[in-house]
Amino acid sequence: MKNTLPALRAQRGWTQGELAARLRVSRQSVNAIETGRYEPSLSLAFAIAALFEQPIEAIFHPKRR
Amino acid sequence: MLDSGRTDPEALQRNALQGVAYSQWAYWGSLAIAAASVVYIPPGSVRTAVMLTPVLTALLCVSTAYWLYAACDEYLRQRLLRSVASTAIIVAFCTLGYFFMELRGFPHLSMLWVNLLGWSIFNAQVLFIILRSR
Repeated sequence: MKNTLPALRAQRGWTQGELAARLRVSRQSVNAIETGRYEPSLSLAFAIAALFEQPIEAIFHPKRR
Repeated sequence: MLDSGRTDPEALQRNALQGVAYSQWAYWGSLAIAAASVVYIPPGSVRTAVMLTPVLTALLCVSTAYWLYAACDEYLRQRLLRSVASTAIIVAFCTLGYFFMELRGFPHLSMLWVNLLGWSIFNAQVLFIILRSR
C-alpha cells in the first residue's frame, strides 16, 4: 500500500512527531506508515483521512502490479 | 497509577521503562532471596513461602508486559507480538541446542535458566522498541 502522507504532512508543515501527537500514536508509527513498513488499521486510516479532510482512497492506494 | 501511553507517548516511554526495570529487579531480587533461603532458612513453611515469592514477582512481570501491550498504539502492539514470537523461536533453538550439548557431556541445567533466558531476550526487545517509540 502506497500513501501520500509525507506530502500531505509537508503541505501543513508538520513534523512526524506533530502528526503523531494529533493522531495519538507514536512517532515511530507515523514513520512506519509513511515508509510503507506498516499498513494502518481501518480506524487509524479513517482518523488520518479525517485529519487531512480527504477520503481514504485519496491518501492510501494499492501498489501497481 | 500508570496512565495510558496512547494519549502521551513520552509518559508511555517513561512508565514502560520504569515498569520493566522495577518488575525485573523485583523478579531477580526474589530469585536471589529464594536461592539464599535454601542455605539460611531452616526447612519449614517459612522457607517454602520465601521460595515461592518469585512466582509473585513473575506475575508482576507478566502484568507489566500486559499493561504495556494495552497502552501501546497498534504498530507498537504488532512489534511487541513479533518480539514474543522471536523470543519463543530463540528459546526453542537454544534449548534444543543445549539438549544435544547435554548429551555430549555438558552439565545439566535447571529449567530456571530457560525462564531467565526467555525473559531477558523479551525484555531486551521490549526496551529496544520502547526506547525508539518517540
